[in-house]
Amino acid sequence: MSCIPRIVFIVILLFSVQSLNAQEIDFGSYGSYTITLQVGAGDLDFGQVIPGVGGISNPYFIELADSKQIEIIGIHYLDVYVDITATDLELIDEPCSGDCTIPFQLQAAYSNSGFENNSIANAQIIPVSNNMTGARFPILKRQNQPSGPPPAPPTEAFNQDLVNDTVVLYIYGSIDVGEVQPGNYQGTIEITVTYE
Amino acid sequence: MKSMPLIPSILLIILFAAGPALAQHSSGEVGVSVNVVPAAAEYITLRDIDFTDLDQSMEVVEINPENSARAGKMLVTGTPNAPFSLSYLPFRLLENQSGNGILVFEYRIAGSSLDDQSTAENFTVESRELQFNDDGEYYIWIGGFVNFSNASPGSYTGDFTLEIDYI
Repeated sequence: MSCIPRIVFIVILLFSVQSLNAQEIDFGSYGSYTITLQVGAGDLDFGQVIPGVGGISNPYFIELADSKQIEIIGIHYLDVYVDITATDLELIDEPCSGDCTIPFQLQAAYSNSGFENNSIANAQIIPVSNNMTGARFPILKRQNQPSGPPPAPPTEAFNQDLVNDTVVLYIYGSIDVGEVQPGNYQGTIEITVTYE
Repeated sequence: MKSMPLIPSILLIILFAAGPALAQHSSGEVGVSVNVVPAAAEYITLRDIDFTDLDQSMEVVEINPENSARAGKMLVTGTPNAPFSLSYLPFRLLENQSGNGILVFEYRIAGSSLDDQSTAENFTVESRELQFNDDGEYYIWIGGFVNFSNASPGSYTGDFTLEIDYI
């Protein structure tokens, strides 16, 4: 008899924890769906630049039109969360003597108008702060319509290729070249995409 | 009344303690690259070598680049603090513009990262390692040695070749 109240207490405690996560429904969290990030070859390459002279730095830009394009392929009716983090550029091929860091300012955008219609013209800018950003959006834009019903759990007959679509992620930005040591500099942008 | 069996109690706890299944995710990396090259050096002639009003009786004229007010002066600009090598051709022919005759001019140069001739160091070799100052500047004073003993009257002109390579 004395054991029952203790179990009831534990059950109530666990329910209360679950309720904290019940603010949204992540349909994608419970499926075994796959999502693909196709980065492709090549860096976000600023080419050859010259150092700043006389204490004045030289800003160099890669605009949205010349951005690095990355494809996210997933189920069109699910949302994804994209997490992007970038580092500054560091000298890689010479012993450093002096200033060997080039600040990088990340910018990002995405287009989720569908494989045939994705373009820079309809890209949505993703706000970036301190070279970090995250954004949630559907693989395929819902055209101002409410989201559909919850997806059916995948079965053996489920063919994901039939419901896949593509988001294009645009990565671009600027570097601020001060009086740095000449040489090759390299930075990294890490991207993680997850169903939500 | 019997107490609740132990095994169902444990199952109950496990079921409610389990969080949501891990969502499928994918990650990738994009490199950001740039090649910083030294700024191209620029040469600015601030003052030509001054041969005016020389003593006509002098057969030999020598202009010391370290201290002569007749020395020519050049400013070379490039990447701040960047090391570079400097080379030049010390012997050049000056042609008589109004008749026959040539003069052999032996250039002598001195340089400093300061705009102050008294700090200039005479270059005794044709190529040596130097360094631009914080503002990407390097000053060169140009003098030389010429023998007029066999020169025909006239106006002589020639050039001076200076080459800078980033190290």
